[in-house]
Amino acid sequence: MSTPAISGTIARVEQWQRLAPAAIIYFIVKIVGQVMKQGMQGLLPIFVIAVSAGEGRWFIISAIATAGAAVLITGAFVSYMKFRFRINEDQFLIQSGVFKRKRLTLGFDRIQNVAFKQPVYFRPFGLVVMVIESAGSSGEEVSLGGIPRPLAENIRAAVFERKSSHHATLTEPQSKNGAAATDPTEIAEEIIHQPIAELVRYGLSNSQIWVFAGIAAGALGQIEWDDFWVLSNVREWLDQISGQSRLAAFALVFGGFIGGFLLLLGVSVIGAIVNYYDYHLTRTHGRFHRTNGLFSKHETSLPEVKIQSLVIRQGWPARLLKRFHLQLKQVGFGRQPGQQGGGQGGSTVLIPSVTDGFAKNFSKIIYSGFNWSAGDLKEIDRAFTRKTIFWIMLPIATIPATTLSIAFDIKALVVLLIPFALTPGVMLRRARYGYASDGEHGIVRSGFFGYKLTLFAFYKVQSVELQQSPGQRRKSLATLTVKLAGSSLTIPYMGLQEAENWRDAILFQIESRNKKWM
Amino acid sequence: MGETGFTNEAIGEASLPRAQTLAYEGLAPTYARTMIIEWLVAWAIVTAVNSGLHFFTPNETLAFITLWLFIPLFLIALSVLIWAPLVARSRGFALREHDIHYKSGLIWRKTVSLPFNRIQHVELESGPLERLFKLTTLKFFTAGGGSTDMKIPALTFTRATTLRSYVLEQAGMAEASLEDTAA
Repeated sequence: MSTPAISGTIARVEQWQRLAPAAIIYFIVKIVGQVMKQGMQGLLPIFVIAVSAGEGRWFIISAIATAGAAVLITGAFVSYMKFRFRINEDQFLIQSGVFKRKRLTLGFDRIQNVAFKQPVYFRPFGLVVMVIESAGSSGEEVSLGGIPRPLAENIRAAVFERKSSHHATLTEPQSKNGAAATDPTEIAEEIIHQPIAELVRYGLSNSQIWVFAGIAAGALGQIEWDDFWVLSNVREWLDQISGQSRLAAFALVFGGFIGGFLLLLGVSVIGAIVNYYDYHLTRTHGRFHRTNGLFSKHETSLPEVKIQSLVIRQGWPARLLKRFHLQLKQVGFGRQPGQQGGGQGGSTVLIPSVTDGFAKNFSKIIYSGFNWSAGDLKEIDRAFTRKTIFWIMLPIATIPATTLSIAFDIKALVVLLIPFALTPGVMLRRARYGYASDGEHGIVRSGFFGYKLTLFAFYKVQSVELQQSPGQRRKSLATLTVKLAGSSLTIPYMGLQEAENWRDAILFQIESRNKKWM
Repeated sequence: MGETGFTNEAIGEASLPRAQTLAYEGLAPTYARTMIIEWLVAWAIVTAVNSGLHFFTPNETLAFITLWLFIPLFLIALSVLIWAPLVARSRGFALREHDIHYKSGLIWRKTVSLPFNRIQHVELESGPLERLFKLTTLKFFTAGGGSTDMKIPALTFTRATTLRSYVLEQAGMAEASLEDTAA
């Protein structure tokens, strides 16, 4: 597999190397970033001196600015001079640091991923930032800012080549069952290229804004408008415009709210376009390769073996647009230990705004041989609804109900009716739960308005928990929790037999297949 | 999968090994005692605070409430004596060739299953009370999250170390067979 070109460049990299000179810009940006992040308070006295200096203010400010710039450039230059890297047989070695020398040795087998970023200022030079992500603590992530792109690509190729030769045949099984049907050749297979229209859809349906809008709307309703004298001025102004008509005033406020919301949506759409512009996902040798970004180009490469699960998400705004957002979850190295599920750490590869058909086909690329359809999902037991209302919501409601009725009026007991009023919501939540398995893979669906469908291979599971409450024991039901590296899935109120089958099948897959999970 | 060296191969997919029929091994007989002591210490602190409030407060309502609180406090102390042995007995672990299981819970019953080849590291821990009773807690960690994935309390020191070395050995063997024949 190693072409002469690669071995040639790599031979060069086997001695200590410096980054390209333009990397000084990278260090400047980095230092400025660090100062902004940590040292803002340190700059405050300087600012105070400058402001209180009176007469000679401009001279002092410019002197400080010049000195600062000089320190910055010297610092960046020295950092650049002191930063060296090389690779040997199976390790990446990096020396860095001006005052505190740092030596880092990163074994290829620990390297999770090699990603490229291309900030705007590197574009004219054809340089990239190479980010090496390692398994284990996030502190060991290394960035090499300012490497010519071809060299970076060769290093990446060499790292993965040596890594795989080190582990002989580890990455092969994937191409055996996955790629054979689609693409046995060396040419990268294009999985998806997202046009701007889809990115706009992603921006519109990225549900965080909708949640924010909901909260904002709720908060607006809570505010006692008369408390704000500023607002009373506004109101006067509104009254003037709207000619004292309450309806017109309301329409104006409402219009303003809608306007603000549209503005937020616009920001989200622009954000989606900036982040995911020219989104390409390709696949070669059992590795996914993603490029995207308008101002700074991101490149991520993800070996299929590293994928822990595939998440197909559809929030309710996405539902209206008939689109799904896919996430390829890796081991959560970007996350703090103890934090589970959810968060979009650096380890997730997102495929924004895809159709139902694509989601289905894509899942077949990753989990070939797993034939599933949403119709196959089994639902959880109805007892879930009853339990949630009587054993969770009602006890919670009794606290305000009793305190309020003691403190104010017995009528406050009406609070106890809230859980029952929420019954349709709980029923909806129950209906969203679903699960299916073919003995080697599993699907778990959950959600409320929208839903989240997680597909995973049983052999990637870390541990299984089976739990039963007294009520569940009576009805032969159980709650199953499946822990994957970085996320945890729970299926409440599934049949006991079913839960035990899942556990046995999962353990069997883990223990008999002996495949590396990452 | 032919030459994996996996020793469990006789098992066909049709008849998967069942985990629910396992015989669980109990924990140390002194476990219930450590639990009772732990609870009674906490109980004693709460009771002391309550008594302090009751006898020294000038506020009559508070004195009245704290007087009545002695009843549930007394009942709690009594119930600890009853349920601690039951809880201690409900906990236990089971070993198989390739995995370890831990069950717990009297009312809400829970079983955690951990395959050896997913164990990242193992920790032995004993608090002051455990040391007094010559017991240790064995903790297993996987890559599943930051928290402990399995915690087996109340093991005698020899039992804990034997268990640990057995598990580590099994995990190491799984790892080794993985390195060799992962294809």
